[in-house]
Amino acid sequence: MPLVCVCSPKGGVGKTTVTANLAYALARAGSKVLAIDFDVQNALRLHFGVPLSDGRGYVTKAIESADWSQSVLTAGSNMFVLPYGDVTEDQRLEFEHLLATDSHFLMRGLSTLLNYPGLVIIADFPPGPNPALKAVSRLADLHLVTMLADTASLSLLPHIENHRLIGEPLNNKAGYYFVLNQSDNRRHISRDVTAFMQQHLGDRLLGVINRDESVAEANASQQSIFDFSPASAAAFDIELISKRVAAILGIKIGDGAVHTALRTSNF
Amino acid sequence: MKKVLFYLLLLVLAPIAVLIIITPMDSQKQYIFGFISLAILFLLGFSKKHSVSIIMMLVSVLMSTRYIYFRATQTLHFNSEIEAILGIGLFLAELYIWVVLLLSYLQTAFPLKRGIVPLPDDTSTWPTVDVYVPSYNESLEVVRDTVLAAQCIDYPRDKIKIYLLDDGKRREFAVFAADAGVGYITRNDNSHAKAGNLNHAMKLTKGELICVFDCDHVATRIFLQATVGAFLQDPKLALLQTPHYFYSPDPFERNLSGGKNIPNEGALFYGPIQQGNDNWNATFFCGSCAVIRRSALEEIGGFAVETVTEDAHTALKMQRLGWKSAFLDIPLAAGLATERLVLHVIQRTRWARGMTQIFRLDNPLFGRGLKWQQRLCYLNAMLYFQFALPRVAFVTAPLAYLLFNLNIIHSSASLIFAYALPHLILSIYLNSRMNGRYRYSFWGEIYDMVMAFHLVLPTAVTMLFPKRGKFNVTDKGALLNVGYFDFSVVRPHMIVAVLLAVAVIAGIVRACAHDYFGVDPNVIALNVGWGLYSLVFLLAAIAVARETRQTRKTIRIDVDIPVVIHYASGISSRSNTLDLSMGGCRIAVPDDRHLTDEIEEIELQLKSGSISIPVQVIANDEQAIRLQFEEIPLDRRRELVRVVLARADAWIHPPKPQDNPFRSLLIIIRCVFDLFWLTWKSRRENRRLRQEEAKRMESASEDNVT
Amino acid sequence: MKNYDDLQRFKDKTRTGAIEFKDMSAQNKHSDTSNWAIIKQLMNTGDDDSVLSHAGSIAVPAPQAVKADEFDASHFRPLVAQPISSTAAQGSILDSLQSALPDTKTAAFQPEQTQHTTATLFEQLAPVTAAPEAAVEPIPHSIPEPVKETVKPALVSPPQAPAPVTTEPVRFDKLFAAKGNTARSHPAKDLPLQPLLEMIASCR
Repeated sequence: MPLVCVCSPKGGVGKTTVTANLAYALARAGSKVLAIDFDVQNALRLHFGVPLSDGRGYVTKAIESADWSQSVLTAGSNMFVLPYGDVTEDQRLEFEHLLATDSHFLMRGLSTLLNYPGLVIIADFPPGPNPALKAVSRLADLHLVTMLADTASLSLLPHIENHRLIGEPLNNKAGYYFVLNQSDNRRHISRDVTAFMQQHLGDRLLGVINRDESVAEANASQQSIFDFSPASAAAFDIELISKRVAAILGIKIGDGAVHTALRTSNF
Repeated sequence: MKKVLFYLLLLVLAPIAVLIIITPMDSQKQYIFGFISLAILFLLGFSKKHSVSIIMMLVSVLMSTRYIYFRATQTLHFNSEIEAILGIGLFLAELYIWVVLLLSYLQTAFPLKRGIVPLPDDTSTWPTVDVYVPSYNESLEVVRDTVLAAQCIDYPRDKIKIYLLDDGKRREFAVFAADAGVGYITRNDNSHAKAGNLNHAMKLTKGELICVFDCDHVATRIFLQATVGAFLQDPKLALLQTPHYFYSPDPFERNLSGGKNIPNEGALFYGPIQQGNDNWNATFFCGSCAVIRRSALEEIGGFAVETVTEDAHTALKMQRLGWKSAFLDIPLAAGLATERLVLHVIQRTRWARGMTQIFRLDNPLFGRGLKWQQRLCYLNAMLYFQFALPRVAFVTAPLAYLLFNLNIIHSSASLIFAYALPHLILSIYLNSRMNGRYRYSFWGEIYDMVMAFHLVLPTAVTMLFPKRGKFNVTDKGALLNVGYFDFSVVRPHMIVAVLLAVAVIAGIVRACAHDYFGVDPNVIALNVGWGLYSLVFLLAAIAVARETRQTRKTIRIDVDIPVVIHYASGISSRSNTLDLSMGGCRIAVPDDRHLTDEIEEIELQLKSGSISIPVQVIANDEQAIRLQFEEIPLDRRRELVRVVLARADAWIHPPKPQDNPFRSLLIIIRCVFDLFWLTWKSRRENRRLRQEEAKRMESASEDNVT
Repeated sequence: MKNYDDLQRFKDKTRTGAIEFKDMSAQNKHSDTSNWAIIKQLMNTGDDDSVLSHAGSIAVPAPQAVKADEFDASHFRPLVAQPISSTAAQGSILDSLQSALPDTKTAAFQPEQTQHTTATLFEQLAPVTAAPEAAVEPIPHSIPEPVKETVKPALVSPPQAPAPVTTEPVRFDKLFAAKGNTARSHPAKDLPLQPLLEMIASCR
């Protein structure tokens, strides 16, 4: 049920990587997790081992069939991914048009998944303002705004705080928090930006992820960072963030809830 | 009302006490009496309550007084002049022990467990503090970290000023002070050593409170926030002393095989004794790790310069004027222990001389301004340092009978034994019960034995001529790069040990053929037992002179701190430290990456901030990687000090397990055994190495020839 | 364990959990964060407007709106060797250079703008008549001599300014460096106003 949006005003901050690894972290803790890709780049699936040539996704089907859950792929135990898929330009425009104009379009597509008990959904979005983010934000329980530890990202902080990402407050349930990516204490700017963010945001800064080449290598290997390099500093930080996310969303593993298997048409 | 009851009780119990003390008994009755009192005490011992300890203390006092009374009234009859001299000498030694025992009981009866007084939330009300780091001839390497640690103290920047007081007037210190951003003070002369140095600095500074750190005492960040509150709470408080904790081992811990698991030698003083003093408002200044109110110091004219232990004297002077002192038993700073036995002896000799000087020049028993409890506590501190002669007397006493057949105690062996036994056992038992976590039984004998022969002359001379003698500073921080046996320090011990060994053997021989020699075997047994007892501690004291090689300059601290390992390839992994020092660290192995990928830096993660340091791998095995820190600039070194030495909880460890007198004695015997065993082993090893070397040389020269 | 909280451990070990010790470790660390222009501005949002707090760097003035006729193409003139004189002849050198070097049109476009604003800054700071036009780095080195090097190069190529400092003996450097940072690191930002004015005056 909980829906988390991972977004950012800026591109190239590592949203997709954070989304994927956060999904893995939550799955490792015992939840069933679904990662949805709202970005036409279609990069999220690669983190889950989907071959480059595999262009399956929900967008092409979404325009006709109402239930997007048919396009979900399994990615290991308790891990599911809903890729954007290969689309033509017209399909993309049509999809965005429906998102922007049909207020029930999104709801119809995701209702099966949203109503599945105990399923944590994490969604990845394109950078900056975009129709998908605007539409999904109204349903989201939590937003994670990802930034890099540099001044280019930092300069967009007012952008978010002034609600310019979707033109209205980002999240109206548990709120929005920040995740600072690729922080390197050995580098002057990185250290200063991190310190500033910690001071300025306080508890709104959910976590700081250490700059770690293992993340890029894990991506290249199409594995989760936890499997690729368990000792990775970034993995530790992401795990810590996932714990905080779970706490905010009230996800309690070990309270006796029983999760039945999610049936998918593929695999 | 309570007071009336108390005096009433005293009135009733007094005659009983007198009776217990003076009633003479024959040996059989005395044995029974002693046995009963010990049995009662054993039963009482099941209760851990403090009031029970007080009762036991009173019983111990009674038994000891009974013994002294017996000795005074019945055993002082001698047949010759020489016996009289030696006999009275021994009695005086035992009288000294009795006085010190009484005073110690008084001093430590009610240890005051003081807590931290919190500072108010509004930092603008906090007093200004001047931190002094006096130095004379110590190396900059040692002093540097002390100054950097002082800079890490959590206190408002505008309210703390740190000063490096350099009596050596060294240029590198001046440069360092400017670089680090602390004050630098020198003076034209070096009169009155450290006290003069501090007084000179007082003229140039203005802080309401003065905090003194010896040049090797690194403070934790919480030092001022834990101590200054008390000064705001009590306007009459002049001094707050904190323990001198050592993070490097002292000669006893290093050189004795059993030394590492026992409480440190200073733990008794910086525990029950100062806490006991605190109860009677008699805590005295120990020269470092303390905060003093400037106005109190000014009232007494600055730090005392008349004696070589200017610290204790300063506190005494302040107390005479009605100021109060306090002791907080939490280690908030740490320093380096004396590296070698000879340095330890030098340091303690200075303390003994200084305390004797105060005894002569500013005797606490006389003069106004002190309560009787304060007087007695100070008296005890000074009397303690007179232990040299009594101890020598004790150790050599059996020789009189065993070697020279001189009777210096006029009593049958069993009678004296019957009287002495409850006296001895009770005092050992009570010390174990009250101070067992801070000092294990019998170890005090070793500490005193090491010093005894060296202090005889200095204390005697100073007692007679208190103004003589100069201040010699203890060397701190020098590296001992080769192990050796310091014969010169224990020469007198070895001589006496040999004499005792001979005496014991002679005694045993005579006892075996006692009819032929016409001697009482019981007396021989008593003297032989006494001789052996002394011999054990003499040998243990000699064992301390076996100096082991100090292999590294920086002291390692066992601590688990999270680290991020930065590899050359850009990978960052996470692990934790196993131990840490200012020179390097050892981290747990997270995976195999370090075998192929070079570790460039590691980042230590404290909550208040992280510090990244360039490293070099020195060694690794399956469990851990050992890293050496490379050179870092001063401001980064300060952050390293913050992590390694200035952590608030760095020196707070759980107390050692409670003492068990038997186990403690066994450890000591083991140390003595190890002295011979290890010496023999290392000799054999050296011989083997020399043979190997010789063989290698031979084969090398052969190769050259061919 | 994410990090080692020594204050909390101290409180646990000494059972002083009730006392709120203050963590003042941030005092000692460099407040370098305020050295960066962007961070400074983010910290100052809400404070009263001062030119300095809104400016990125005092060495390079904040961009201002252009004049209405800035892009009026009718102002273009053929290349004529013009004497380098007053600030009134704005853009003259660069005009001539522009026609002479058609490839560098785009490169020259920027200097023209900055050239204009440099002149504005000069007008504000130093009421001097002869402020020669600066040659800006983007323009290729084949520029003829008449274009004098003025303050602009000094501003744009920072390493020259602190060069004299480094020839002094090292220990004085160390002695008077505030916190270990040398002037070398952020010369453009840290150039204070007075030496800047002096440099402008001296380069005439």
